[in-house]
Amino acid sequence: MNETDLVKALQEGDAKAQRFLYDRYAGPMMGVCLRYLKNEMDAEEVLITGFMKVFQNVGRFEQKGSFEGWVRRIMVNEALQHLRKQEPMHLTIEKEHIHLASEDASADSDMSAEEMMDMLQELPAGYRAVFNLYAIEGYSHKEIAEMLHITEGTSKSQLSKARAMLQRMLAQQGVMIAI
Amino acid sequence: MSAEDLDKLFRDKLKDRPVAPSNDAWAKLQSRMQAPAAEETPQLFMAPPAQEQKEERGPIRMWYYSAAAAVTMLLSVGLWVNRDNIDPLQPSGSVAAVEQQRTVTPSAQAPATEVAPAPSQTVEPSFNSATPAAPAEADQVEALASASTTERQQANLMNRKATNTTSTQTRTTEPTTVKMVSEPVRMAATTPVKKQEETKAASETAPLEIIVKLDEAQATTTLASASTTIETPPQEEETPTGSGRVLKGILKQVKNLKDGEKVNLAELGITKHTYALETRIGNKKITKTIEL
Repeated sequence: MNETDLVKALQEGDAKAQRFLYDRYAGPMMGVCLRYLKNEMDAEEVLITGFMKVFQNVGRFEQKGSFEGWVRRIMVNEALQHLRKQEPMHLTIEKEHIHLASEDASADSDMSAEEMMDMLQELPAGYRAVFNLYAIEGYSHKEIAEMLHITEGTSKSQLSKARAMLQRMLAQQGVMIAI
Repeated sequence: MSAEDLDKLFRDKLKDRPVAPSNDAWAKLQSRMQAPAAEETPQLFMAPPAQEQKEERGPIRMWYYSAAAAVTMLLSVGLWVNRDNIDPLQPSGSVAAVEQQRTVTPSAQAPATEVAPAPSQTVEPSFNSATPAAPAEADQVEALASASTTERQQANLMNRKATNTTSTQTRTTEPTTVKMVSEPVRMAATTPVKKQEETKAASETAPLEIIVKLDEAQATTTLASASTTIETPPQEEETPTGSGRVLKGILKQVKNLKDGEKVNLAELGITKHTYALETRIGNKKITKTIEL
């Protein structure tokens, strides 16, 4: 079943298509949600509400662009909404004092995704959100600023601080590995 | 390590890294999908107005029901009362006519033949004068009533069958002897009435006074009063059987008479078919009933 057929079936409210969509996207979208929300319960909650929105609003999806991208955007938005409910983003953003990462911190390509995920989870929610949106999802600072209700400058500074933290973590890990 | 490298590293590793959700996530999703379909969407639009309607409808319906109940109660009570008055009274109308014919009979004893030729046409204009004469005639009727109830019943039956005054007269003439006996007694007992008669007789000297009555009500009422006050109990018992329903209405009118109120024939449901004409020439009293 290709994507357009799936979307058509979903738009007709086909239960089988809904199950099919869930089976195909539940895993990846759970991963997306987990990148934004540390707590697995929260992530699953967001996943479920995200799928509900997908099923309810699939009629609005015009066959432009990838359906997966559309679903992912919904999930991200849900995650951000949940995050915003949990803790005001701008408060956590400025909390951490940043240490710039050392130059020689090297990212090993053999580092497991799980380890990287743990690092990402270490970030404060605001940093994590901006880094997720910009570095991984590929949104522009302008889009991020709108999504998070922050200014573009804040988005940029958040991103740089998030990167610095990650580099520092990578360096520490490298050190640890070295030891 | 540049920022771009860092981004790329994380993007490659984490962007599409699937994490299996818990097994019951799908079940949760399905249950929530069914719940909003049934509840959430209707709550937005349908539910609030529906609740308001229900809240409003409750009292309104109660009012309607209570109003309907009240109306039905009034209707039923009214019908019940009217049944007592109206329905049985159509036969009673004939009863009244019969009584009048009995009033005829006493006069008929002397001039039985004169009764028939009594001029009915001239009678009509003197309607107004009829009311004062009512009590006098009532007494006569009382006397008649005292005569016999069996006669009434017979007369009733006869009247129902045939409304001709002539035929009834012939029948009623038979018991005249009894009535004649009773009438003087009544006259003695009811002295005021006699006075009235006398006064009327005096007034009659100059103009010939013809009393026209819508006899049914007064005749019947007098009948009733006579039966209650004068007659023996067995007769009372008999009358209810013959015109039992009628009695209520009649008694009501009797009450009106006692209280001095106007006797309402319409309440009795009597159609104004029969007129009693009464006139006195000298000492002769001529009565005639006309059925229209």
